[in-house]
Amino acid sequence: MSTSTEALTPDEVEGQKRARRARRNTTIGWWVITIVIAVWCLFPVASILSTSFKTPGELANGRFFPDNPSFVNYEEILVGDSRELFLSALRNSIGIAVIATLIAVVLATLCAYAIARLNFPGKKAVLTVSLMVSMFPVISLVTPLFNMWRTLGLYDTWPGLIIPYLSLTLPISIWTLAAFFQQIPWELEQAAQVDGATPLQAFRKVIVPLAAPGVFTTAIIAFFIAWNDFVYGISLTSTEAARPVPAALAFFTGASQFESPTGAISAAAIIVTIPVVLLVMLFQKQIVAGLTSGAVKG
Amino acid sequence: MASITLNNIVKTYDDGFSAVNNVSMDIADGEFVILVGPSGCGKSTLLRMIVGLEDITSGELLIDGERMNEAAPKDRNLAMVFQNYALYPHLTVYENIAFPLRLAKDGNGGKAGGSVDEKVQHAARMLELTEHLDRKPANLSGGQRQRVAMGRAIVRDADAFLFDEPLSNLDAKLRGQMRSEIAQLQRRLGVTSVYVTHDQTEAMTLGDRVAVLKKGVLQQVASPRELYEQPVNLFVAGFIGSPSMNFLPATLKEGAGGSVLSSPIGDIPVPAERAAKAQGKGLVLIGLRPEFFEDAALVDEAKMSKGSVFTAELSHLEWLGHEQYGYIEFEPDEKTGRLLSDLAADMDAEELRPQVVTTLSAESRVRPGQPVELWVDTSRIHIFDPESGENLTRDAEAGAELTRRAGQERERELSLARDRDAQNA
Repeated sequence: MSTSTEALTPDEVEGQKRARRARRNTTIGWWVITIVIAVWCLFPVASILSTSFKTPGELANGRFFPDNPSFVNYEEILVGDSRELFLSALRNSIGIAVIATLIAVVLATLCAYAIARLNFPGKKAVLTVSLMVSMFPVISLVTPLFNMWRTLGLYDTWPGLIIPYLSLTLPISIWTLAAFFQQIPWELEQAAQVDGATPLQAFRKVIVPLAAPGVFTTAIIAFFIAWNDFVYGISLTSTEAARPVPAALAFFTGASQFESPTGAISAAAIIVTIPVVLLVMLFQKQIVAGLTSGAVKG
Repeated sequence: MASITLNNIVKTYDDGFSAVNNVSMDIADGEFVILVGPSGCGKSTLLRMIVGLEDITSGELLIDGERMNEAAPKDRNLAMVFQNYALYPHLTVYENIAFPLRLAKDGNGGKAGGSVDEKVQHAARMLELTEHLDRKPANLSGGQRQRVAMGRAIVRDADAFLFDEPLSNLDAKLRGQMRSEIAQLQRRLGVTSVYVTHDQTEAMTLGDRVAVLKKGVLQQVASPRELYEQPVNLFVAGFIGSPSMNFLPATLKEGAGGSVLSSPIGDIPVPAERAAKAQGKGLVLIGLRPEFFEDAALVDEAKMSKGSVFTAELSHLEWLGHEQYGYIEFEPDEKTGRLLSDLAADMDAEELRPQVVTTLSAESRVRPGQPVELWVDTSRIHIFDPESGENLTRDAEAGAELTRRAGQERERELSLARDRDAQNA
C-alpha cells in the first residue's frame, strides 16, 4: 500500500484525507442521531421501569432512581390485593389479542391473496373500504357499539372485544399482506400448477411458505394493535370477565385511599411490555428475512 | 409420450388484441418443435395455451387425440421449463425436483409408481446435480438452476416438455452448452418437446421442425433446412439465416444471352425457369443469401457456370478468420426503401441498411473501395412478389422432401437412443 501512496501527488493525498474525514464525520453524525432517538424513545420506558421498583414512599421524591429498589409493586399486583384485578386482565388481554390476531391473519391472508392474484370486480373497493374502516375514529364508534353490544348480549364478553379489534387489525393485515403477496413471482404458482398442483395445493405448498415472513410480520403488528387498545377495552367491559390490562390499570387503587397506585401501574405496564419485546426479539429474523431471493433468475 | 394437435387456435384478449390467430399444427410423438418469431409474435402465448396457463379463445387443442381445451394445467400431464426457471426458493434442489412426485403421491393416496428417491437420484445423475441436492436454489449458478428446472420436468414422465425461452438468461458460452445438453436429453428421452425462442441459432440447431410466427399468424412450419432453402415468403426468408438474406429490387429484362434481372448492383442473368416466375410482375424483390456470393477469382470452372460474374465496389470488408463479409451499398428507390423498412419492422430488427452482405472466402484478396469481380450463384436465387411477399420461386416439392428427410433422421436418432438405452439397461 505504501508504494501506491508515494506515487500520489500531495494534492491527491490531501483529497484522500479529506474523503476519509468526511466519511468519519458521517459515521459520527449517524451515531449522534441514533443515540438521540434511542434516548428519546427509551427514556419513558426507563422511567416507568425505575418507578416500578420504588416503594410507595419514594414515589414523589423527584429522583430518577429508587433509593432502595424493592419488588413491593410486583408483589402487589401478582400476589397482593390487586392480584385478582391484574391476573384476570392479563388473561383477558392475552386471550383476546391472540384470537383477534389469528382470525385477522387467516382472513387477511386469503383476502390479500385474492387481491394480489385475481382480477375481480370490486377489488379496488375492498381495499378502499378496508382503508376507510381503519381511518374511522374509534371514539365515534364506541357509543353505538356500547348500545348494540348490550342489546345483543356481547357487552363485557370476549367476542365483544374481538369483533371491534378485527376492525382495527384486518385492514392493516390486508394491506401489508397484499403488498407482500405481490412480491412473490407469479411463475412459481404457475410452475406448481403445471407440476400437478391444484390451486389450493399451489397456495399451501408454495405461496404460504414463501409468505410466512410476511404473515409473521403482519401477525405481530396485528397483535400489538389488539394488545395496546384502550378505548374499546375500557368502554365495552365492566367486570373482570373481559377487561384487558390497559383498561384494568385504571382500576388499580393504592394500599389506602390516599396512596396513589403509580407504582403498581408501572409494574403492570412493565409486565405487559415484556411479551411485546419478546415477540420482536423472537421473530426479528422472520420479519427481516427475504426468503424469495433466488426464486427466479439472479 | 404424446402427440399434440392444434386446430385453428385463436387467442384474443379482453381488450380485443389478437395475440394468436388461427394457428393449426400437428406435433408428432417424440418430435422437437420450435416456435420462433420476433418478440410479440404470440409464440409464448401459444405455448402457455398448450400448457393451460392461458385460456384458448377458440379452436381446439388435442393431446393424443383428446380434447384438452378445458383441462386444468395439472390434468394435462405436461412439464414446463420457465424462462426464469421458477424454482421454489424455500425447497432444496432435491425437494424442488421431487415436488411433482410428491404432489402425484398426494393425489392418488400414496401409491405412486417407483420410489420418489430413486427417480430424483436418477434425474440428478442425468443432469449432474447429485452433489447439489441439499442446496437451495439461491446458492446455485444460472446453469445449475436451469438444470434443476429441467430435472423437475424429467422426473415426471410427462407427455411433453414445454420450454419457454429457457436459455435467454444465460451467458453466450453457457447457452451453447445447455443447448446441446437439451438436444441430447430430448433424443435420449424421446419426449415430445415444444420450445419457444427468439434466437434463430437455437431454432435451427434444436428443432426437428420450426414454426415461424409473425404477429400471431403462422408463416411456415418446416425443417430448418426447408426454411432456409425454400422459405415461403419474404418474412421467413429474412428472419431465418444470419447474416440475413439480401433483398434487392429488380425488374426482368430480356438481354442478349437470355433473361436478366436488372438490380441496383447490376444485371444478373437468371435461368429461364426462374425468369418465368417473375414474368409480368414488373418490379420484384430478389433474395440472395450472403453465401451465394464469392470472389470470382476463387470460383472453380465447374461451379462458375451455375452463376454469373458482375463487377461491384465493396464499401467495407470484415475479416473473421474463416471467412469475410464484404458489404456493397446501393441506393434503393423510394418504394423499395419503404418495403425494406417495413420488413425490418416486422422482424423486430434495426432499420435495414440498403446494403448487400456477401460472404467471401477468407483467402480472397479483394479490397474495399475499388471495383472487384464477384460471382453470384444464380441457380439458387429467390424471387419474391413485393406486394404479397410470396416466394415465387419456392419449390414446394423439394421443400417437403427436405422436411421428410429431417423426419426420417429424427426416427433414426430416436431408435439409436432407444438401442443405446437398451444396451445400458
